[in-house]
Amino acid sequence: MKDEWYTVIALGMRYWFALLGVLIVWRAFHWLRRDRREKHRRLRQLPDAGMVGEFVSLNDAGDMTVDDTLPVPREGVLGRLYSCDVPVLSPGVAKDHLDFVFEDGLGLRVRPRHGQTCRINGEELTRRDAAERGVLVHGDVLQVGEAALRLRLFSGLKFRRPARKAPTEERKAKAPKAAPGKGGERG
Amino acid sequence: MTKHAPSRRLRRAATRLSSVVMLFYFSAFVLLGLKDYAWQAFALALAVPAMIWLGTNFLPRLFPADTLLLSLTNFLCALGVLVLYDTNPVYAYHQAAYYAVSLLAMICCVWAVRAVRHWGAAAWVLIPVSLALLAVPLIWGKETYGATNWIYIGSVSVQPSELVKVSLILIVSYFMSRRRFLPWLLFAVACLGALMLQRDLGTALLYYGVTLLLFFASSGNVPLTGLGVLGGAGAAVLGYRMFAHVKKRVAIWRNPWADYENAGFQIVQSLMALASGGLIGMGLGLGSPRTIPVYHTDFIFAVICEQFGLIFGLCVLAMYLAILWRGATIAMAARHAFHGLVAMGATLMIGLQTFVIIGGVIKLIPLTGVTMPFVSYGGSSLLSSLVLIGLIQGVASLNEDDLHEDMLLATGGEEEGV
Repeated sequence: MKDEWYTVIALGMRYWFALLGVLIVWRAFHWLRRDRREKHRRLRQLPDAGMVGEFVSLNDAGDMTVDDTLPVPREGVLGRLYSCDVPVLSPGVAKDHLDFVFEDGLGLRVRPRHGQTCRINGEELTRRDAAERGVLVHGDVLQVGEAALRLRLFSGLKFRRPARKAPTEERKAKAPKAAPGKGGERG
Repeated sequence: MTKHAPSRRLRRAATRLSSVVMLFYFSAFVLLGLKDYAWQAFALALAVPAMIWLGTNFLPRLFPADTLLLSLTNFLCALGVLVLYDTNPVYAYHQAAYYAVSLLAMICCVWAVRAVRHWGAAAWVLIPVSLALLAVPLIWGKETYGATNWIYIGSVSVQPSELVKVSLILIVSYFMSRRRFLPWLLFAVACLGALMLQRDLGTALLYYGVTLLLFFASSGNVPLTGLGVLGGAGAAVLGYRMFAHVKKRVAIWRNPWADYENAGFQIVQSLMALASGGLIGMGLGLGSPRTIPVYHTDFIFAVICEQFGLIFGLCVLAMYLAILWRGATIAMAARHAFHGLVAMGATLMIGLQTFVIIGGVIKLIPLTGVTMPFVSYGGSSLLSSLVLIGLIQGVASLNEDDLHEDMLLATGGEEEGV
């Protein structure tokens, strides 16, 4: 094609490309806005989206009163700060008290932070034995600081109720056994 | 792989957007074809829209992809091919091949994010591999534009720092989600050290910026983040005093006209190209884009503005903004901290890189040696950009699965009697 003809066409097409560029951007942002509205609509239909259950307060402790509910996400941190995923505003609760994560088929695994402890159904749990005993299931009571919280898991979530031993039985189970025909082991 | 068919509303929106994009590229390549009656241009006028159609309508059937993200990514990648064809057709053919390979890598990345359950093992393997990759240019690398960050394997050149970008995000996200401070900090420091030795300060800036922003996203710790910002500023001042080429770049940024024939030539040519383009450009196939140094990589945005104009340049920026918005939304909707941080890290990397390169081209900030994501010529750059999109897409698909599960749970209701 002659250069002059090409130049005329190319100069004319500038407006076309600018228009298409603007149209693409307009459609993209329109799509973003519609998705945002759709997301808000879904959240209204599913207010518990992303949550696995809730903690229900069983006592009055600090800012917490009986029957207060705290939504529990799939994983996060429980602590005294508002920025925590589960903020528990009670005396005795550290800023970042424990980490939790919901494990499918098991329950809500909790792990106290360094230097922190909690109680599950009255039994003390430290960071060291969290891997073995730190699982909450539906109906279990978690005590952090002065707050006592009962866990309610949503229906449909799969968990397994662990067979919990009485504290004295656990201590016996942990004690080293004497070898047959020999004296008891030291230590 | 789950089979979530896109809804009708989504398909309509995707069709509307992709049809405009296809029309754009069809008309652009036909116009370029009319210039020299090159059959390759007419072939691309059919092939590029077909690839866009496939990418937007077919890929979402393989995995629950975010179609808007796919559409915008396809547009930007194809824009790179178009502009490169206009300036140097050989680069365009290479770029098209890199795009095909990178698309496969993106799909693999999506599968990996969905399939891998234990990222801990992967993170510990990636650490030595990434550090080794960063060390290779120091031993076998060649200096290019003042930095020793390329390795040449025969005729193929690779920039390892582009690939390590991805593993940086994965490693930092993993350890941050586990609240383990030391591993990610040591890794980040080692990467920065290697990049400083390579004198690849642009990439070091990206690594530092993304790590710091991810730290803020994961911890919310304002004082420590502020300390990080001050530390970065201090490192910048130190870099300015230690490296002569940094001093030179800052001097050029402040007044490129003082030495416009030598050191300031790049910036001056870029600014003149931006000005020549005006609002609607000089016209595709017109103008003098090849007078801009490194027009195919660092200054490709100046070429786009010269050919298509500032309105179109702003539209390209808006598309990047849309990608960032979408990526951030996907990150915020993630159910697991690791996935959220990965998506956020990938989004921040793309955003920061875009800001750094476009800021340098328009003389907002001193120029650094980073590329424009998706658009600039280069296999390593395109591969890393699409892999980052793959990470975001993977998290988006997991979010869709979680939402689907929530809807099923919602029909079950809470247990009674407690």
